[in-house]
Amino acid sequence: MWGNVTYGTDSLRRWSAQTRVCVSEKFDRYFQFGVSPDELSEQELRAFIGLGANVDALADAWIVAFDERRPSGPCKANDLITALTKLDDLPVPFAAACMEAFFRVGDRFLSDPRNSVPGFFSVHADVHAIWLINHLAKALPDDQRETTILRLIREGEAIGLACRIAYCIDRMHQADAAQRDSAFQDFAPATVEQLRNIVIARLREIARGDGLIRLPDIYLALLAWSNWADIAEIQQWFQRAMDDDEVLLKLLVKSVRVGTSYTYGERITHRIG
Amino acid sequence: MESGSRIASVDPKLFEPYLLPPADLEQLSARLRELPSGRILDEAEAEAMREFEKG
Repeated sequence: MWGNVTYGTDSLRRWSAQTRVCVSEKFDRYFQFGVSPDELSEQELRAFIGLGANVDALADAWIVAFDERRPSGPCKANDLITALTKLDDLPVPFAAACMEAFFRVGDRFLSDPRNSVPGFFSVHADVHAIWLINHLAKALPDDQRETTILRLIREGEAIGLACRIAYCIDRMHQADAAQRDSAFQDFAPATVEQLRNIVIARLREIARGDGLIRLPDIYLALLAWSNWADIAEIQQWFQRAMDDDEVLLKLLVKSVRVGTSYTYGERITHRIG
Repeated sequence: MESGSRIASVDPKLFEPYLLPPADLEQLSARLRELPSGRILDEAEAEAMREFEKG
């Protein structure tokens, strides 16, 4: 009856977007009186998308979602990102505004380690953020994508996010980079160069005060800065940081890498975060 | 599979490229050892110090 019919990951994405019963994470909903308050309902997702081009409202909604913690650890924003990245028909005004809102408040999401989805196949918060921005950028018309990203990396309040996205785009344009299904893959070399320069300028600016140490991932910022500028600049900053007990301790604490160890019978597996 | 237990680590080599010559990791380590004498470290700071020394 079903001969010669195969289904791939594209089918699963479509079925998930359509909330079909055959999708494992949607299955339970067909047999419950209501969606658990710890799950993102279709109504909540529609209401979020319904905020349309209102950047202020979307930024506020992101903050509310950051603060709504799930029992498993991550927050409602993780669920929103997962749901949004499965939708291939997001309206352009919403995608543009949603991206702008996330570039405003996204460092709060990146700063909270609980937003890294736990488990052996853990997903870091910054990977979730990259998926979101990449997906929203895909929804923009081709002729607006590069200019929008340039503007948001130049003006977005979330400098940590700007640094992360610029670093990700730069890596895609390295000679040894693998081809990826990304909206950023086709950026012109001149745009990538501009992105690097914008981020360096922003990092230099915040390095004059205490902005650098407050970033969600200072070591990513130092790596990007040292890759794209003279390392002597960073060494000078680091020397000043070493002279300050408070800053040095913060640098040390932020250098801790946290992973998980799993035991199954006599087997032990380490997963470094 | 049982739920994962937390493991923390610090790789001191992370700091190496950012040390202003002629400073080296030994000097950074000595500087860090000075810190607890003047203050009480909180849990995260104590863990970071411990892992740096182990690393």
